[in-house]
Amino acid sequence: MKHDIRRPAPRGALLRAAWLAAILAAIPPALPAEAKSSALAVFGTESGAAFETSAWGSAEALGKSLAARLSGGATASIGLPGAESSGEAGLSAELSASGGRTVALLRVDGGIADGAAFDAEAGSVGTFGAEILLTLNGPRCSFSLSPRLERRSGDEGRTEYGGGIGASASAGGFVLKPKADASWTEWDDGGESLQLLPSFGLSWYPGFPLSLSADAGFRRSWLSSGEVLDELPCGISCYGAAGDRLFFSLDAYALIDLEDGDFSEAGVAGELSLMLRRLSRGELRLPIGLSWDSEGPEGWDGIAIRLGLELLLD
Amino acid sequence: MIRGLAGAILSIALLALAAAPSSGQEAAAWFERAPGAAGYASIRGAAEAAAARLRAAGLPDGLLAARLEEGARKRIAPERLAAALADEAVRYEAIAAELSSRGLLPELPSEAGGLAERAGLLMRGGTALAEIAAALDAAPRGSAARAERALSAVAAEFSIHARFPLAPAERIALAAALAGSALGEERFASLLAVFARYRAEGLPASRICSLSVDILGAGGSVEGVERELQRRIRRP
Repeated sequence: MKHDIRRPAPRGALLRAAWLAAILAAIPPALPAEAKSSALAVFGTESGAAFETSAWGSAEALGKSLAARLSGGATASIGLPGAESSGEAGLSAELSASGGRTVALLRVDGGIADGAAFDAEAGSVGTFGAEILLTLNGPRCSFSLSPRLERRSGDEGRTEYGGGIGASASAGGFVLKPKADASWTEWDDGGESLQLLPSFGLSWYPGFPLSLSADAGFRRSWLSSGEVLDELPCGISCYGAAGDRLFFSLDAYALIDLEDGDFSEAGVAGELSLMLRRLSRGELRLPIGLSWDSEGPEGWDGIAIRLGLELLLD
Repeated sequence: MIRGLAGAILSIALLALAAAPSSGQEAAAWFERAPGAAGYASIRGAAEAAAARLRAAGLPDGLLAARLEEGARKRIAPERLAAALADEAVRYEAIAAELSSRGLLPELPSEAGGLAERAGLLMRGGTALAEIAAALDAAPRGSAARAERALSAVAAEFSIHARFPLAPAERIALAAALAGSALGEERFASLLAVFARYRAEGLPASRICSLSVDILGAGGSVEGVERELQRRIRRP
């Protein structure tokens, strides 16, 4: 959710964190790991021109039945004069145990953001989440159960207790993914809400280098004010490769308010990524992205173009 | 791009292999009947010797007659064609030995020829015999279609490697993991789309391969592979 605001750039700690992460990402890892750092020029019709640098990395230790994974990174978007700036950093730790066809995973993650990365009107925002994911895998279908807790600080601070139950089953080149999610949210200003979201996803993995995924659900929210919101979140994504050097992706999403039939959020993002050079332990890519985001017919909307370099290491 | 195109052409060729070569001394017959055979009379002895080696290995020599026909059509120089036939004979002998040592070489020469032709085409495309051997070992025992399943696994691995290059050891591990997996053969090709999806997201092919091997090897599914890969690209 982006807002059209103008704030002083948080060039301090977040930018330093981004550069530190970029340096760390460039150190060849000793464990199974990936790292990605990028430097992009971004121009948005609403956000203006900015230079964006980011670095994300992860490493994991794998045992026979236990695995631990740590990932983290930072992004800083430095706006040119008159443009908005933002920054965010996050860290995630996962511990998983597997036995037979059952996998149990505990994930804890946290992050901070400033500027327009989250909700700028809320100022600096901190997030914390914990999730347990229990999965039973079979050759043709799997089931999962995932209770979670999420906490967000700031003006729109809230604590959410939720859980989801889902299944996936394969049929030919398709994977069907029915899911149901429920959550209870307590807002720092005293409000409460209950949300139910049954949804259905479909992924297609044909015998050529392209995949398609689509999902849609029905979300009903009961607010403590007595109001009931009915919404339809939906999305579609497509990823593929042309040869071994050119990759592409296309994502589209919308959140439709069923009361008036208008969307309250929508976006489309496409990216072409050309591998410029294969390195001994990674590759250098040139990504070109174009996106459009909107907060509804009467809200914010804008187009953004991104172009730069990405260094991927493994 | 060229590798991808070559992979696509080879995949189509593999699918087109509906009819297995017939048995008999077809190489010798080719020299008697084929219109362009006169130009290759100088290599007849070498070609018939190679054909005899195939028959001794339990394979129909029609496999070599097909290469003779192809070479003549393309006007390949006799010496080059003779060398290619010798290489082909060595390949087919090795394939027959791998099948035979596992009790998987069909007694019917036409069936044996069909399997050998599929394997030979993969090897001409750059597949190592070790990949085929690993897939044969990994495919479930007791199945009449064990060899076909193993070759389908190698073909799927080949099409992945053609677009997203893998190291030789990774190729062997992936072919074996597919052959020994709980997946139906019709799902092998889905893994190519999974590779494309997560390569587009920036994960290295080696990482996708190792996770696929781990999960398929443990009896997991393509969506299980997808779920693990999704974790790897998740940002906190």
